[in-house]
Amino acid sequence: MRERPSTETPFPRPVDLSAGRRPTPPGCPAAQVNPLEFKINRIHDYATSADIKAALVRSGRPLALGVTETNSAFYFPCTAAYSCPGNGKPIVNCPNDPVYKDYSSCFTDGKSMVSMKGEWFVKANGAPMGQAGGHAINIVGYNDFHRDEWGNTGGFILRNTWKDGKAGHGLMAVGSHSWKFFAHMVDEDDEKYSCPNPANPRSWTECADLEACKHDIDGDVLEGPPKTYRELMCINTGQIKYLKSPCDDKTSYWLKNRTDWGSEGLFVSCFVTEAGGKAGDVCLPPLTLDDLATIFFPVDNTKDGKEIENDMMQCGFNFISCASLACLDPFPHTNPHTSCCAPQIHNPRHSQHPSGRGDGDALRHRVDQNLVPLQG
Amino acid sequence: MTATLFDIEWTKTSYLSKANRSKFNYSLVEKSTFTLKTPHEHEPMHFDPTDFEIQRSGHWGALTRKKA
Repeated sequence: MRERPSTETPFPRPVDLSAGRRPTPPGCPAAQVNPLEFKINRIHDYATSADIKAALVRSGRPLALGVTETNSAFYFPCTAAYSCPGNGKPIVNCPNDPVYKDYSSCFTDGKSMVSMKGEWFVKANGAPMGQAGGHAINIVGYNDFHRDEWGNTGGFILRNTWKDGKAGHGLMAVGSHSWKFFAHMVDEDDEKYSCPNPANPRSWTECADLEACKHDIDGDVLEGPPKTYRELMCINTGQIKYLKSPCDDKTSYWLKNRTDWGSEGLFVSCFVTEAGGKAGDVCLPPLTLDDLATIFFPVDNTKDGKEIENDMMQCGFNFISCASLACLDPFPHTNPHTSCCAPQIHNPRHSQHPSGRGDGDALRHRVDQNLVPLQG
Repeated sequence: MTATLFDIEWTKTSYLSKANRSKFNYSLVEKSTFTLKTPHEHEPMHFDPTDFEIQRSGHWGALTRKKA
């Protein structure tokens, strides 16, 4: 977080609604029929992680956070497997990671900064980040010990409004967890009772061969999860346009294994297959885990006759590490620790307000969104 | 980037009854003020090794509770 001190400011233009309804904020017709009206008396801005934590504890209330959404660039080797060259993606030099040593060039593809595990991340690999808009979320807690998939330890638990599923909110697929999961009060196995995340490839169980894959392990393990995802079907949504025919709908798939490919967040995933009574194997070229959610989905996603999905009254929580939050700082010059990635960010709203706050309308809009937390 | 805490004050109109404010939509408020669920917490479980047996099937062996 940047070094600029936290501030406490009387709201410059109190929203007095006693004289009538205020104008409907753009894109927020719900405000016109919202029976709750309020005045903002004071705004407290907290700029450092320590101050945010102290405010959470002291107030017992959520803090609003306007996040600049970015796309992080992932490097893929430029090969025919990705229809490269000619797939429309920018050709660049490959990173120094040894896994790229046999490739003369790479292309980059921007992926969402929110993984299906519900973790917001910013890749500090020096590649340009594209701004993908903004989003208002609530900080509802923190955990100094949670380590995200990118190795960042410590950060904030967020309440989001997005509905989980195969796709939505401009993301290729969406997932989340309970707050207790990010607070380390529930482990991964028990979390499957609360937030099964069927679309999330992290929820799919690996099996070694067709015999093992067809063995029903549901109920084998004492007090096991309510559902174990094994057999997958091809749903190829075509969102990864450079990947042609990664699967076909006449074949059954089971995840065999997934192996790290370099340190860029890519994995080689291999599958046991069965088509026309014949067993086989197939491996996809390196992809992100979330990419797989656009290609496969569990065949049987029901339990007791009901479709399994995350209950957003229990799930819907995200996590952002302090390191990733710092990388989104629009004023990197004030904090040398954020120079890894922040210079590529351009946020017009913040750049017009060197104080770090947006204008009053933007702030009010954030309040409105917070009043209806389940509306995307 | 800053996290923001708002000190707000509900106006008196917010305290009017539903009947007096029929043109407003309370469903969003009701939806947003549900008490969130928290993950199920299991009762403490006492482990007795004589209650369990290894079941084998193909490549798999699993510790399962003996059927009563």
